[in-house]
Amino acid sequence: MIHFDRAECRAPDGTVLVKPTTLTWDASHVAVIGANGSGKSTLVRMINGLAPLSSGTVTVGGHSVKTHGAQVRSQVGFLFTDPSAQLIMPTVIEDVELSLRKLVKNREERRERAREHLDRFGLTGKEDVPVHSLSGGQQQLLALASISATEPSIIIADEPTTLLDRRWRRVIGDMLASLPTQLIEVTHDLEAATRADQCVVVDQAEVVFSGEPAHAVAHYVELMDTSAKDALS
Amino acid sequence: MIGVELYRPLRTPLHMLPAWLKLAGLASVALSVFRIHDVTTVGIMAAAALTLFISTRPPARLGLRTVVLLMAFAALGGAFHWIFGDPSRGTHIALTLATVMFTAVAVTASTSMDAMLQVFGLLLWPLRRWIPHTTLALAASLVVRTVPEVARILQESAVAARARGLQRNPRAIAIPSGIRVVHHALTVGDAITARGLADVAPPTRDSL
Ligand SMILES: Nc1ncnc2c1ncn2[C@@H]1O[C@H](COP(=O)(O)OP(=O)(O)OP(=O)(O)O)[C@@H](O)[C@H]1O
Ligand SMILES: [Mg+2]
Repeated sequence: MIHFDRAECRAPDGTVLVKPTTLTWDASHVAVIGANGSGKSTLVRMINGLAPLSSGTVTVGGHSVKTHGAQVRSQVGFLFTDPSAQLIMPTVIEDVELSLRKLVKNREERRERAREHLDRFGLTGKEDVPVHSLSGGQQQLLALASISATEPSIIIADEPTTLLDRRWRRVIGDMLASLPTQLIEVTHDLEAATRADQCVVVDQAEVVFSGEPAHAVAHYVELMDTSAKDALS
Repeated sequence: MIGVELYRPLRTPLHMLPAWLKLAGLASVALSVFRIHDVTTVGIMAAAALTLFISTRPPARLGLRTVVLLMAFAALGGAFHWIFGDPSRGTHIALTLATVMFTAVAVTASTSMDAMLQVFGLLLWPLRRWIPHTTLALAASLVVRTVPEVARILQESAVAARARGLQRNPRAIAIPSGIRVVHHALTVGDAITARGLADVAPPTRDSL
C-alpha cells in the first residue's frame, strides 16, 4: 500500500512539479494517465525516492521514503520506458544475478535461481547472450525479470510498452498483469487504463481525479479535448 | 564492433583454461611480440594466433567478419611503410598487430565476461580498502555494457544526420549523440538507484 501525505515535489529552481498531494493507492492495479509533461513520471518517482520530496511524506507499507529509502526500494521494483538503459550487466543471466546478489549469497545457487527465473519469463537459452543483441521487447522482458527477481511487493511501470511493437506490448502487458504484486502503471493507452482497478488523472502538476477507471478516462478525454480546442482557437 | 558478442559458452580447449591464465597469456604475447624482429617468426606467431582463434569455434559469419576486419586493421598499420619506406618493415608491423589482435579475440571468444571481470576484480583487490570490491565489479560491467550503447547512439545520430543531408557536418552527429549519451547515463543512474544497488544493505534489527 502506498500513501501520499501532502507530498510535494519541486525542481531545484523551485518550479512545482507535483503540487501537495494526499491519496492512498491500495488497489492491486493502479493506472496513472495524463498529458505529456503533466507530472505523471514525477509523481510515481516520488514513491521510491528518484524524485525527492520537497515537503510532505510518502510511505510504502508503512516505511517513509525519506527516512527508510533503502527499505522502500527493496520493496518497490521500477520498470522504465527505455529498456536498454535499465539493464546494467553485459549478459542476460548476469543482470538477473545482480538483482539476486543480496538475496542469495552462494554463487552457484544464485546462478541456478537466475536460470529458473529466466525460464519463467520465457528467456530460456538466452542466458549468455549479450544484452545489447536482444530486441527491445526482449530487453524489456529481461528488465521485468530482473526487477521481479528480488520479489518486490509493488512494481511501478512508467510507460513500459511505449517503445514496443504491438506483439511485445501484449507480452509485457500480460506478464505485468500476471505478477502477484501491486502494479502502478503510467500509460497513454486508455484502453489499458480502463482495465485497472483504480485510475488517477494528473493534470498540470496536480492529481485531478482518482477513482473508477471508466470515469477517470472520461474525465481525461474531456480535459484533453477542451485544451486542444483552446490551443487551436 | 568486436567485443563480448564473440563469446559462446562452448567446451573447446581454450574455453576450459582459467580466465587468469588466458589474460596472462595475452599480456605476455602482446609484450613479447614487439621485441621479435624476425619476420618469419612473427609470421608463424600470427598464424598460430589465428589458429587459436579458429579453435574457439566462432560462428562462421561473425568469425569471418572478425578475421577480415582485423586483417584490414593490420594492413592499415603496415601500409605506411609499404608505400613510403621499407616494405619488409611494413609486413613486420602488420604481422605483429595481427598476432596481438588474433590472440585478443581468441581470449574474448572463449572467456565469459563474468570470468574476466572476476580476474579484474582480483587484480584490483589491493584497492579494496578504498573502493568496495562490488562497486569495482559493477563499474567494470557498466563500461562493458555502455560501449555498444554508445556505438548504437552514434550510429543512429549518423543516420539521422544523413537523412537531413548533414552528413558532412560533424556537429550534426556530435551534439545529438552527446545529449543522448548524457540522457542515457542519467537513466542508467536512476535504474541503479531504483534497483537498490546504490543502497547499503538495509539495517537489521541488531544494527539499529
Ligand atoms: N528535474 C527537473 N527539473 C526541472 N523540470 C523538470 C524536472 N523533471 C521534470 N521536469 C518538468 O516537469 C514536468 C513534468 O514532468 P514529468 O516527466 O513528470 O511528466 P510526464 O507526465 O511523465 O510526461 P510524459 O507523458 O511526457 O512522460 C515537465 O514539464 C518536465 O519538463
Ligand atoms: Mg513520463
